[in-house]
Amino acid sequence: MQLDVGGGRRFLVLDPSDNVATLLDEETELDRLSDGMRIAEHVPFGHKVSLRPIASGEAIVKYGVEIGSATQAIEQGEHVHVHNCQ
Amino acid sequence: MSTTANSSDLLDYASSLEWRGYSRADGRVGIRNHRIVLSTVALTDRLAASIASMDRDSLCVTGAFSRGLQKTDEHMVERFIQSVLTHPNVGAALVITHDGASADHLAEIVKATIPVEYMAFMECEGREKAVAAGCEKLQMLADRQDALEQKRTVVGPRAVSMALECGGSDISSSICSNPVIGDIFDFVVAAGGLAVVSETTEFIGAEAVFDDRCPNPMTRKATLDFIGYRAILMEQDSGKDYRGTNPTQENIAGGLTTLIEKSMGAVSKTGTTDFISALEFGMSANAPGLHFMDTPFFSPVSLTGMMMAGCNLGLFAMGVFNPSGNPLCPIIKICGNPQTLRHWGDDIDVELDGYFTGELDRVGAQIAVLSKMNMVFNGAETASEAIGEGQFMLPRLKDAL
Repeated sequence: MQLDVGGGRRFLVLDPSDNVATLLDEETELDRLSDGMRIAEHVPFGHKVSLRPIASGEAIVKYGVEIGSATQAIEQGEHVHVHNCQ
Repeated sequence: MSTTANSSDLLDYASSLEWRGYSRADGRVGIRNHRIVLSTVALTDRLAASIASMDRDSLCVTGAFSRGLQKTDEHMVERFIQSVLTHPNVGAALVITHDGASADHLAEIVKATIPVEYMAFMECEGREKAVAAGCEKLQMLADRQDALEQKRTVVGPRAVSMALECGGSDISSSICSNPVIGDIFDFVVAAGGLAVVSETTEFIGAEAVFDDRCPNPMTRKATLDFIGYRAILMEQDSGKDYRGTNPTQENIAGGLTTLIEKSMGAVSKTGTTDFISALEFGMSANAPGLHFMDTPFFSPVSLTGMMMAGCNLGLFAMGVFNPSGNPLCPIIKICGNPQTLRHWGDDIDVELDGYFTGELDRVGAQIAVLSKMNMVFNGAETASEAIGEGQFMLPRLKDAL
């Protein structure tokens, strides 16, 4: 699944059950995905943003696999990385 | 677990393809019909190359094999010879041994169904006569191949037997090339084909995958034992716990958060199907489905292991450039890294950089890979075949005597 309607950041969701998207470009000043969903600014290329709100303790899913769990509540569109996932 | 692999676009495209290969007497299917000159010890490598150079339809197979090996290594070389002589991509073989006794021994243990001739180096009378005798034997083999009428017939995608590999891995391989290879394998396994995946250390941290995708408890235990053993070897060698030091600071800066996320970058090339066996290095894989093989991580070695399993082609996800290949098992190089494609485009078969520029979506990437795989299956040369790139290399087990 990959969309590019312009005006937002290119991204990739590797599996339909994933709750994070991986960013495919370096347009870090933009604050939305190419499908229009609002995301945090300044998230680097190759990093992840949440596709929906994720509760503290909930699994982070990428490749359809639990790659970790949220160490705090994560808002939709937030940068998901070592500060809020382990 | 679902995936985009079975998208109707991909399946519509796949059903339009014809797959033509060489059906062998043992039921396996080759996608090449090589007449090989196989050197069984380093001392005969040069002679084998000289003979092979006289027949442009032949392929030289050398591995710088030693003498004076302890039994485990000696058996490994024999297993190599046996698997090459029964490999589905081989249509005939001239085997060059050191002496007559070795030739007799091999002729006794090898169960090849193709025309095979043996030649002992020590029974030759000088370089010139040896090359002439080798050429004569190659001509005899060519005649026998003609008499057998080895020809391609329609075999279907179930005849695909893939080696899954990645090398020079980077983010383009982990989110683009490897997942797309996984999609293609999901298609192949649905059609009744098989694949082998190797490089045991890549699975460190992804053990949970086997809880979900390995229904046979014996296979699961064997696989986890292979992974655990290599993790211990790494720790003993470096003094560091791999699990405790990965992902590295560099990985984290690149966006990788956890070890399983890093490992999944490589594991995603196995698609979503179940693992059905755990093989030791170089064992043959016959049943349809996904096989795990325990190998070292150096790609020429792991590719040799998967060739020995009987794989008739390979899909290789490349990040930064990596010239690994296998002359007997055509390896299709797939790359999404724009810089690698700029510098090494001649060595690469499928370009997926459009994934990052927005010009290619996942189905487009799947079709690009499947289309190339089908062409290579039916006889088109890979970049590596055209260049003559590739290695045969066995793992190191024990000191030679």
